[in-house]
Amino acid sequence: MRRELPLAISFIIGLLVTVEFFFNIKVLQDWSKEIQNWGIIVAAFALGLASVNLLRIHAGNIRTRRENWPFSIALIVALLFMAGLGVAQSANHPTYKFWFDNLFSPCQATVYAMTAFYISSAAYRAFRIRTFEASVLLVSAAILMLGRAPVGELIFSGFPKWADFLVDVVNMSGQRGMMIGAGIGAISGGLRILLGIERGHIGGSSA
Amino acid sequence: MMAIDRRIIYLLLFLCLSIPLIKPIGLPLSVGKATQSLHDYIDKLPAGSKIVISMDTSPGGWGEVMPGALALVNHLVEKGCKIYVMGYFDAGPSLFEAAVNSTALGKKTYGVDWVNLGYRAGGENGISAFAGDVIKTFPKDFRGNDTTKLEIMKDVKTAKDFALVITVSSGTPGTPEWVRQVRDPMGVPLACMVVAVNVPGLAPYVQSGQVLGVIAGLRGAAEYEQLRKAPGLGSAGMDAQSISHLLVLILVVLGNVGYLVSGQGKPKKGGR
Amino acid sequence: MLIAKRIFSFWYLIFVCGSILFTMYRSMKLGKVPKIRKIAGLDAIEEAVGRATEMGRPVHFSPGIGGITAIEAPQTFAGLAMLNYVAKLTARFDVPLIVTIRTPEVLPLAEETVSQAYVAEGKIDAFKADNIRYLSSQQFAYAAAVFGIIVREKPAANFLLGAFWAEALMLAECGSFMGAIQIAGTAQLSQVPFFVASCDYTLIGEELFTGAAYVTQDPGQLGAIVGQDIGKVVSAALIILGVILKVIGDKTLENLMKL
Repeated sequence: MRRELPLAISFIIGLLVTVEFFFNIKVLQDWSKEIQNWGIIVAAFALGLASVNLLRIHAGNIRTRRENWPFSIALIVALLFMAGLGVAQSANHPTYKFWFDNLFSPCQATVYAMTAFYISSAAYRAFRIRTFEASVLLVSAAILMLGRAPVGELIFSGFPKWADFLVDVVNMSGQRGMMIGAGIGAISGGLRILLGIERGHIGGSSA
Repeated sequence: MMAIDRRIIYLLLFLCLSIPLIKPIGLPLSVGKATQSLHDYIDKLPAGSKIVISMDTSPGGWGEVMPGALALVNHLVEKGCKIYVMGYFDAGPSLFEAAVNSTALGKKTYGVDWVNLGYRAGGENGISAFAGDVIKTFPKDFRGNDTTKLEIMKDVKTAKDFALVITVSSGTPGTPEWVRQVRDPMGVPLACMVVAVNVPGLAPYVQSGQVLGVIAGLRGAAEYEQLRKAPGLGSAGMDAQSISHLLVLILVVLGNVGYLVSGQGKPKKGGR
Repeated sequence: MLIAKRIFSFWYLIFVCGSILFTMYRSMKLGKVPKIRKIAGLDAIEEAVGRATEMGRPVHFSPGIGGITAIEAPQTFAGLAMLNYVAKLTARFDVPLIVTIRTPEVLPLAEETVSQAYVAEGKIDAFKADNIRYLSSQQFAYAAAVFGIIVREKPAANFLLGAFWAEALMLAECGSFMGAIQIAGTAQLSQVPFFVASCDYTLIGEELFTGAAYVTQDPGQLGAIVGQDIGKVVSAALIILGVILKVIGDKTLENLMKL
């Protein structure tokens, strides 16, 4: 029953939402919208559950004085402070906006900006003429980099056109093929989950 | 040559990025079809057109899409359009609110010329809800006002009431979700301002006409600024991008030279 | 009754689902189990966990940063199915498994997946719920937290299987810095090049979805893969036919697909 009930619920709701997409049946459309709203509510409750998990792990770090335990204190204080402020006031409160605009946003932007450094070390390490495929990867990447940067146009005026050809013709056809394949793969995965054949996500092996 | 310390690579890259930002070179650039197409479309919009700007970006991606977004906003204000900002990423509307005063929109009247409808949870479900009923999806705006009482929200019922949707996007939900929920079922024109890494994935949508124009990352922003003859952050970033691209290419060449010279470079069949 | 402009899609979906169910039936009931080509990344999973065992270091697994309600949900479920397999291996070989989660609603699924894997291997006492860690719902805060875990815990194997976005390259590079063997897989096409550049093995697109079938050699799932391939062959045939008809100016297929 512990496994059968979630599988049954998944099947009924999945079927309902799928049928609603194709058929013009008012009651199904209303139910589908309601279910989608429930999904948002369940996600919000899951956030609460996840926060409890976070607090439990970091409280354990503090209690057992694991390595770097002071950072666990910082995390718990920040979590409780911002969550409390957001709930008690709102996300528009000046203090909330101050920490969001001056700490949180710059930190996010900084970590994202590190991608530039990581891609340079990854490119240096990985773009080697090891095989034919790797050579094609290297040449394509070089053409694209030179085509998209103004300095490439100075070196050779044809680079932007070559880059556009790679993106608009070669890449696009590959993208379409992969989108179709991934889409059909998703249909298959969804069908197996709906029918209860795929149970890895609830801890069982397949039926 | 085979094994340059990562820290040296990072230091060189840091210098190549920061020096051109401090001392720009001013390299010329050509304008791509996708940027030109969007610029021309906006240029032809009549005054009073209702435009959605969907801030589907996190603070991380905002650094890359901001220059293009600001250039777009300035262009729309110049054309006399009414702007409806919303977001399906939680931070999106806040980011716009923080940046609005650095655009011409900051001088316009809130609630009459523009409105920030705020964040709607649910991703693609949220976009679908907006498409069907705008007021029900956003009963209050970002600043806490009742949207039924705002002058700009009069005559706005569904997504069909808008002349154009522009998604400023760095992830999901983004362009494909807007195509599925608004562009295809309702025929509302769609354009996007996206991070460069997402551009190859949009090629099928541009080719089929489902997306009428794309501003592609920092390069697209620089092109748009050039079309508007108003250089800004996008143009400033282009020199840095050029020099850093050259550096990466030089490093790749050095790496391959070392790889071949060291005798490891015998071509093999297959590979990862 | 069928909504306009969705009629062709509906029948196409029926056809694809029908072919999947038919091939599954052939495989499960009639014993005609298909053979799948070798997928190097999937073959390497056991090797990677074995490496962690020899080195006495843990295994890190991320089922992606996607949720279970949006378009990327199939990738998350595929990642969880792979987590089940990896968890069984880590239970069998007594290797610590650290699972990092970004999306809160995935946390209970991951906990259940791992605990059931340990039960299946008879090692429930070795299961540590604290090793299934929700880190943050914010993308880059999650990435930064994973960096910290990888640098502190030094996993010998790093599995990144699911839906990833901009943090993909960072997670993979961090694992590479620490010398972990890395197996990644995603259907987020924009991130595949980054994984290819920085990981030892990459599962591209639907190789991720076939992962669970491949590693378990389950007849039903293997049959489903054949059904998918039938759908793809039909799609390719429609594309070729469409191109030919378009060139000769015939709009029959185009009008049919617009129904």
